Amino acid sequence: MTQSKSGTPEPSEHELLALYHEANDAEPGPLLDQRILAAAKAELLLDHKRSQRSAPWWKSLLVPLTTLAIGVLGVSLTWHVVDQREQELRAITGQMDDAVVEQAPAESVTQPLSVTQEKKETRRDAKDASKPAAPEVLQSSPARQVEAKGQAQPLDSVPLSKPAAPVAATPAPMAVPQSVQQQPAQKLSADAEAPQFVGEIGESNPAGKAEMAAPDAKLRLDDLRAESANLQGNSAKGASGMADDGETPEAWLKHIRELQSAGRDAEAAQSLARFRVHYPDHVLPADLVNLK
Amino acid sequence: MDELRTDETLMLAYRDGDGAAFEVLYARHRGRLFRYLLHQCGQRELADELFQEIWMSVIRARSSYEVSAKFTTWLFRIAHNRLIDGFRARGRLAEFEVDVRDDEGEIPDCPAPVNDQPERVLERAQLAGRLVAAVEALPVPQREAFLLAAEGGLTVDEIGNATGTGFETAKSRLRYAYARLRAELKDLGGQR
Repeated sequence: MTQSKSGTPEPSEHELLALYHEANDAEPGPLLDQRILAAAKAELLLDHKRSQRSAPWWKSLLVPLTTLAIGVLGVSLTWHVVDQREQELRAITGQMDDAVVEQAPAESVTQPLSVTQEKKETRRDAKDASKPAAPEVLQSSPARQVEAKGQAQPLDSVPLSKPAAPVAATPAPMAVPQSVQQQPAQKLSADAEAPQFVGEIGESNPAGKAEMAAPDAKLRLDDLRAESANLQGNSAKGASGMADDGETPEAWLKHIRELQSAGRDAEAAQSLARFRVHYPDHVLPADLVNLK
Repeated sequence: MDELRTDETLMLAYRDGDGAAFEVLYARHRGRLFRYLLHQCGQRELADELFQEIWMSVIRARSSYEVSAKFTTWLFRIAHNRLIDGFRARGRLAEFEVDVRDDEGEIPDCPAPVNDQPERVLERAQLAGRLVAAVEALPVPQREAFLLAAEGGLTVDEIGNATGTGFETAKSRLRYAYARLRAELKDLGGQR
């Protein structure tokens, strides 16, 4: 109980509210209740159906099938690469063997054991060595041949020109690793050339330079347009910048989209938050649902 | 279990497909929302129609619902928008837009009759009936502020948010509403 200006007691806000609730027992009819509750359930069912319809059965198999396909592809590619390497190595060692046999038929006859030993060693070396190291192995092999021969024969009996012969006689094995070795180098030089080329476009070709600068200019122009549009909007809608208050929902959403396309995401999000307070039951369009 | 959950949690649960959550939420707010509408528009049929529209809006808006304010503020904001649409459709929007400063002078001071005797005071039930009539006779903005406080349980700040007016306007409307009701029910003061 409070006192009025004239000093008489007055009901307080609390008392007024209590009295108001005593007299107020109006409620919606049961039919209305049923209708609304049924609508709420029906909407959930519709949601469920919609979600089922939007995800067909085959979509559940998409992930396992993709994984399987990637796995099969990976394994077959690995097999292919390994197989190719083995074939190359086999070809290299085969050519070397042929060359050795051609160059020293006599020794091989008198010393079959040492030659076969040499072959085995060369094969083992070639197999063990990785591809970039292969040329080294191959280059050193003639020397080792000489060594092997030296062990079997006295040094003076070996002709001086002989050690050089296998090297000269095995151009094919050398050619393959050389090309392999050259590949990274070529690639490097190509990489080194690329920036120069791009630089040339920018420097010597003004049109190219303008093209490169165009996106920047376009962005700046868009910014300026957006700013001027915003300034116009603000001046039209009052100094507070609350551009969207009092607008229709559609006009307000259009304004939010404009802000978003101008790259002013924070402002767009703020405006959307105000929109949601203003029109809480407005179903947002899909492009604005995730704007935070 | 559902009874212990907040309105906001229930609404989120309904959004995520829990139909029972909506039933609890509806049971909590059906009466207060209906009375708010009934006193605001004064016709049962119209109140029924608006009531259904509002709940349908709640159902439709579930997918975009986020907890940014109290559920009651959100609900009564929808109700406020629907009421404005209703008033606009009936060409009575001006009633909604009249601000207290335009139609009110000073807050009325209502001296109670000096010679009021307790035996002459109306029965409490009759008094309550008079209060409801007094509420319905309030200017629309003041009535809305009072009903949002009485039925929605909203604070002044929340009333400001629900009606899209500022805190000061909501506070002023509420103050005028209480002053008018006190003036109408001066006998309540003498009854005690």
